Amino acid sequence: MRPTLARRLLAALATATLVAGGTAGCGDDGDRSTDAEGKIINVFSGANAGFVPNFNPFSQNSVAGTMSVLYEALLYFNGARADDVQPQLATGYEFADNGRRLNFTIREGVKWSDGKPFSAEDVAFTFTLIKDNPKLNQNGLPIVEAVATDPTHVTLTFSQGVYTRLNLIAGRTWIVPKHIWSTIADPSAYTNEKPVGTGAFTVASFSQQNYVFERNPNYWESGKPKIRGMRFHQFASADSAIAALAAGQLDWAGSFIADIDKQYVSKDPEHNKYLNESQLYLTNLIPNLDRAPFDSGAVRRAISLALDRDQIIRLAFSGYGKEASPAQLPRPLWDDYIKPEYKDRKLEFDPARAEQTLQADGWAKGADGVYAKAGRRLSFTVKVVQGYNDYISALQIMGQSLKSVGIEMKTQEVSFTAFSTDQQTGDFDVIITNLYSEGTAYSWYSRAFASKTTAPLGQQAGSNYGRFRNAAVDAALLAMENTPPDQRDAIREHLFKIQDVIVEELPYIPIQQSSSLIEYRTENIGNFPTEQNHYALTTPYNGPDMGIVAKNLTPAG
Amino acid sequence: MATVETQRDVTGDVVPGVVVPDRRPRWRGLLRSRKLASGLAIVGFFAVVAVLGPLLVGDPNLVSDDRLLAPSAEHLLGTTTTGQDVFRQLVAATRGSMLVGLVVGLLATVVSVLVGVLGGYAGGHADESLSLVSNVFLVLPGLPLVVLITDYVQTRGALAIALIVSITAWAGSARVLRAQTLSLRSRDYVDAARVSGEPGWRIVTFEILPNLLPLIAAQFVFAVVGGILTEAALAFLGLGGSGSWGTMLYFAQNSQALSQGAWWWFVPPGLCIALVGAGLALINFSLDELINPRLRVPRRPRRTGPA
Repeated sequence: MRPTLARRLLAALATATLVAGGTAGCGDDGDRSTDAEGKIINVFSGANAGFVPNFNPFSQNSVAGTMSVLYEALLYFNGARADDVQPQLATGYEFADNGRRLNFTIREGVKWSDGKPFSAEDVAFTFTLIKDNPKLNQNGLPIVEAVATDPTHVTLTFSQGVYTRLNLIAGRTWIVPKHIWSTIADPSAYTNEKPVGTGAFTVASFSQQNYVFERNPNYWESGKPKIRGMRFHQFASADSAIAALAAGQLDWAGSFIADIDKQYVSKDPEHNKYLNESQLYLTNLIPNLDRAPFDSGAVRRAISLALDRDQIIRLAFSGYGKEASPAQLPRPLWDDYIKPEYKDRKLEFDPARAEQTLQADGWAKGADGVYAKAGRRLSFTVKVVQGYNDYISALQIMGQSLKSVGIEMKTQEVSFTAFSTDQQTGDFDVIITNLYSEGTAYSWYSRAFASKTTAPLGQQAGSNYGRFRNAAVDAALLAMENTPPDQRDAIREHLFKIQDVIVEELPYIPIQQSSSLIEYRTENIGNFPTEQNHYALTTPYNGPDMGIVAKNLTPAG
Repeated sequence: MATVETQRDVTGDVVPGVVVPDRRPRWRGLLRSRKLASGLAIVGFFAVVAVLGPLLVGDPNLVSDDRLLAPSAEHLLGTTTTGQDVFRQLVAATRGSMLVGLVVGLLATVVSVLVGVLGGYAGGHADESLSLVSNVFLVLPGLPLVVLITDYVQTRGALAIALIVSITAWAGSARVLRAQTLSLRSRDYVDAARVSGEPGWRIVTFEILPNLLPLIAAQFVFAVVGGILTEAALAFLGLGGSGSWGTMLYFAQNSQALSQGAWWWFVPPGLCIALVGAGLALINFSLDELINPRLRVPRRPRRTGPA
């Protein structure tokens, strides 16, 4: 019965292929309801598989909205505007003991969503919980002790100065109720299916298909929130999410849409709006500075000069990316902290000068059209995560530009796990990746350029994968760690020193400020942040910003 | 083609109309099969494109500002969002897909012949253990396993992908070949060879293998289809990286070609996969008919006698 077996296998294989490929096609958009009251808005935060109940704010797997919508932090650091700090559960803070102690004044009159009163005890409990459970301490806060001195005051003591980590301590630590979490045996594994928080919304229903948050009637900020609730949707593929957006079934989404004017805005130009949040990531080519020839500044400059970033952004990044600053801080968010002379400096595109730069460094063009020096051809391989199609396209474009100036660039697609390992251990010539920060200018630089976040080749580097080391940068970072955050001029001076080095040495090669498209429909919601009134970052993802937007939205009309 | 023979019934009258299947493969008849001819034509066409095509068209990765253009005289199959020519990509991808199919076919066939025929002939513990191995591979969920392995293995490229796909592609064939070998090894002519002192390797090579050839050929074609389809599935999931039709579909999918209405980007590679699959399937069907005469559809002999 061989043919039967053969056919059955063939059919099974074909089915498997269809299933694997077809999952993208069968979208499940849940039930949509922009009901008559119109106050439950429909949100898509990028989920592409069934929702799993997890409202643990300490878990990276918690569903969108857990952080900042259900649970709140002490302060809000606006991700869209530098130095915009708003009180939340704390009304004030002060540093003491050279930044090793933090005193918070806690808001009065706040209630947990189960009706129990919130107090400084809960804040002290949360930080003690983090201290006692290293798995919860994802930001590595050096907590020694957290004490509620009275119902409205908390004192946090740290083993080292935390001037540069206020954002993590007060802005990204989600306060949980002591009366519930003190009985949880393993808080890191707890899925918290009946969350009790202080946030502006509570969970009304949950299913694999969608979940709904409803207004918390006891919310502490009077008159907020104004919308009745939010329903979170999932879509198996980008195409089905776009179709839902275009059909007006979603009010707030963070979806990449190619040719957004045609695919989305034009369907309802009056209501279909979008924002391009480009302050989050800086796409860079990161050369391995511990490997030849990237130890040569001339080579790095030549590569940079040969790249036509306009073309790369236009073709590979759908035209949404923004020009990158050589100071490696996103603009305009950090404009106040970029040295004036670097603020408008562009990364030039000048192929002729790229070649001159190489020649001046002693490279000579070989018979194959590729520069060489001391018998070594100027050829390298860029590692990229497989399937990151925008990066892969960008590298194709870069490869062609570099070839025309006599530099050979190859691309190697590797799995995500292999990429992570290789970048940490330094097993690469060049990688293409995004730099990002924990929300401060200090963190942009310490993550990417501090020698304490790197490691020798073969050992795991924390975040400085390019192996950049510079005494002046380290000194400036150390000085910032000892400067209270309100001394902005001093901080600025330190940042300028770092920028002098980075702009001069060009350790990494910036490509673009990466874009995140955020769509919102003004048919059902009003008071959404705009470029002019950017009161919060509008990304509908788990994080500090979503709750701020959610509680400030108003019903339209 | 089966023959219509006459025979005599008990009364001695000649009764026509009994179909007697042939024992020997009829290669010549096969060549006249329309299925085989069209299958070979399709596959042959793609093979030629795979070998010569990339030499004739330009660089498939060349970008330009002609973004997402519909097919025209200048761009026969239009362009992608990065302004790459879809026709050139299609030709280059043909080489990638066909190469993976060919390598998977060869590897899977070699392994299945080794495991199936040797195990089937040797019998005993060797057979039991080889059989166990192929049974285990048979029940492994192929695609998920390949996805896992691909994610784990660092290198990308047509050959690497083909190797990975082959890992799960041989087991079914091995079982089929083992079953047929078991049946052949107990035939009289094999016994005769054994009694006359032929060494085992010689019996396998000269007595058994030739009789397995059509079966092996069919399994090879089957493995090629499997290889092409599995690679396309992998590439569509973003795990390819070998420049194949699946890779084209992956890029089209991620650039939202469907919702942007750029049919010229995803229809051609999809059609190519379907066509090559159909071509190989046709070849396989005609091989099936060769091996198993019952599958043949002979010209129905007219019943002339009384019912």
